Amino acid sequence: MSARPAPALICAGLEVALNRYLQLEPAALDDCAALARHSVGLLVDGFDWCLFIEFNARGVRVIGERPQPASVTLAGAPPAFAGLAVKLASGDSSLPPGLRVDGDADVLQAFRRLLGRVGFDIEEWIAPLIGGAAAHRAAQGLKALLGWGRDSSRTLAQNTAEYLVEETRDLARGIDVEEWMDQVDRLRERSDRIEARLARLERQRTAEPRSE
Amino acid sequence: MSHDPTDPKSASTTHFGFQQVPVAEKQKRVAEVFSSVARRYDVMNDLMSMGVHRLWKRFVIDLAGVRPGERVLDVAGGTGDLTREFAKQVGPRGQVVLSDINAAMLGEGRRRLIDEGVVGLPVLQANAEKLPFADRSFDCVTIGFGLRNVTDKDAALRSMLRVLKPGGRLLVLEFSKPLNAGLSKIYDQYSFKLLPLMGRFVANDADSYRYLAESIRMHPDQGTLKGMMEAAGFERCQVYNLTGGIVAVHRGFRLTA
Repeated sequence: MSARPAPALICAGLEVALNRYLQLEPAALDDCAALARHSVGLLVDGFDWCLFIEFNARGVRVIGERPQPASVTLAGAPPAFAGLAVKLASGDSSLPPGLRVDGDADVLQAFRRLLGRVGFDIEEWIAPLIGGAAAHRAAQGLKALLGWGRDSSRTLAQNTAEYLVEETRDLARGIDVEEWMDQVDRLRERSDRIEARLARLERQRTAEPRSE
Repeated sequence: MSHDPTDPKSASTTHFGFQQVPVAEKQKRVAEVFSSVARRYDVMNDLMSMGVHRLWKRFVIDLAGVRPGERVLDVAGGTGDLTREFAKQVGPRGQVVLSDINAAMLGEGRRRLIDEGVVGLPVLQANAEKLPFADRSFDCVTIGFGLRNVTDKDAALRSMLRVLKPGGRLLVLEFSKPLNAGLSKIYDQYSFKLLPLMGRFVANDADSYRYLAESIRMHPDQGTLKGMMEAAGFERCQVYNLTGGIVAVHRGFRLTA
């Protein structure tokens, strides 16, 4: 790995966040202990940073440099890692596009399973701070707010696309683009055929003996 | 402070701020400083750091990642800021030990802990160079703003390594060297002009706060302290600079049995 170690405070922030997340599910620490001999390397494109996640019975340790190479390395741009974090937080342990894996995929799979099994329940998390009933109402309100945000952004995207397609005609309709691409394909096939025919005629002309 | 045994001058003396004093005398003089400032220690900390010392300590607590049931040793724990938070985290199954070489500071710490309802934890007057605990008896050891006052820092680091369990960690929170030259100049002015003045008006003790500024300048910088920790046997040592390097947290692990 030729990348430089990630700043120590970035490592610290990631470590504290991961350990707090793992603390939500005590059984996850047993999984961390089982992975104690392994490590996961993260290579952040753009910043050219590398960091290593090491496992132990207390959780994880995130460091910028390590004497031995990682068991498995995950490389990609920051948005791809952000996508991974969002997927894991929502219980989906699949890899988002844009991430490259190099090394022991079993270790990565175990790490993803380990993070995926920690359920994040906002209600349980805030209940000790504000009480059970208030936490329930706050969690419902937050869910409604997030749902409204999701719906609004979807509607906004749809309306913008329709405006650009139907009103300003800056974008083509999907069906028109498909038809145009079909026509391009047909044109390509015809030009290939005519090229082949011309080549055949050329060969015939050079093969015929001259009449004079 | 460690010294070169081949140098006859350094073999018999060590620094106390900018002064050279006999090795045997440093501990006594540091004790006088802290006995003098103990009563106003917390007020002065808030005043001198403008409250930022609470954030530095919060960072140490988060980075330590103490779990319920663990055993934690707070060396040079003074007025018990770290001890109080660790006591909450270890819960009834764990244990936190507050230790300090200075009886006056320890007394202040014990009084404050009791005032805040933290009772039943061991409070112990102990020298960091020779910790009176069994080998491999703690999961986490911390020393906050204490290492620079220790006469033989290498011995203290070895002693803290000895009492850590395999897999355990040491966190050193200490003043260090600012990373930026501009900040360094402002910091020098603040330390040598303003700090003694504050000490004089608030704690009625300018000399102790002059010693504080001098002892910070004599303390090893980030890279040197990291090297000392590695030489003592700590692994995976990492430095976390806070507030532009004015303060640094060093963390190292005992990985081998």
